[in-house]
Amino acid sequence: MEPQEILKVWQKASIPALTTAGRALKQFSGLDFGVTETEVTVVPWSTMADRLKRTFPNPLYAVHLEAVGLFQAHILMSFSDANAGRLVSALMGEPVDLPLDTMGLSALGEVGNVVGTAFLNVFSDMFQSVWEPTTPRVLLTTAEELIREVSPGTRVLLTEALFQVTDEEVSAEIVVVPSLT
Amino acid sequence: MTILIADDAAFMRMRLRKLLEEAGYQVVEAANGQEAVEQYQAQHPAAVLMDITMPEMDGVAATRTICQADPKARVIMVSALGQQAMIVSAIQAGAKDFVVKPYEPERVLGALTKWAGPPTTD
Repeated sequence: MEPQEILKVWQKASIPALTTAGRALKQFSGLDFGVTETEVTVVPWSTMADRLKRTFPNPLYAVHLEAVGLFQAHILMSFSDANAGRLVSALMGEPVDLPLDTMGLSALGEVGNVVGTAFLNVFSDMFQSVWEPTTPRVLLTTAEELIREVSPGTRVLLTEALFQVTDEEVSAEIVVVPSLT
Repeated sequence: MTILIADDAAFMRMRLRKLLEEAGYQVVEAANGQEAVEQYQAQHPAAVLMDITMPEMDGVAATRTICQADPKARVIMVSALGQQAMIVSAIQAGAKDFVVKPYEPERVLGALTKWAGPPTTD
């Protein structure tokens, strides 16, 4: 399957996957949780890089999962440090300090796991095949470091997601990269 | 009654530990499949709640190793992978049940009661 075809399928999967992810996070946390997409686009990584630099002037948290199935893809979720803190505080039921400690990083990794797996389960249903994710890796990084991971011309699927949890709204960017350099 | 929780995510282990201890179970933990095998051999828990995607050794391989050594082992898979083929491999490896994450607490406790019995003091 060509990268362009992959991205089209992911694009189609975004809405049901985020709906599933929202339901899953609600069940997982016991909180009033929802996830909606505000924008789904296919863009070159250079566009994403500009956006990252603009949106994340401070350190950011990135959750990375690799997915292996009919083809290989990388799922990357990025949160500003403040948004990561708010999301983890909601999950832990108490305010957390930044930078996140081991338990906070693990909680954020589980959010990535639930969202990434929701995408993969939609894929499995679409293709009647198995998709296996790796364990999520949570990185405290910078936009510059993240940008260097992918070559500028690579086409990626960008889903702008809005997590609504209790009274908080937390935005995140979910990027699907067919292959990393 | 002791239950072994095998999950690489500290947050998930914390949540499951809280649920199980509140229900009256004692808990031991493992952060990967290899540790789960070692803890099973050392602690002989009444049941194991086993994640699938873990570093070192995944949950299906750990289940296979545990069940080959102890065919009566009660391993319950707890994983976000709700995919049919994964469930089949886990059952073939010897798992008795499969709980899909995110789980309803009642579903986990129900599976434990079914396979290991209600909590009692060891």
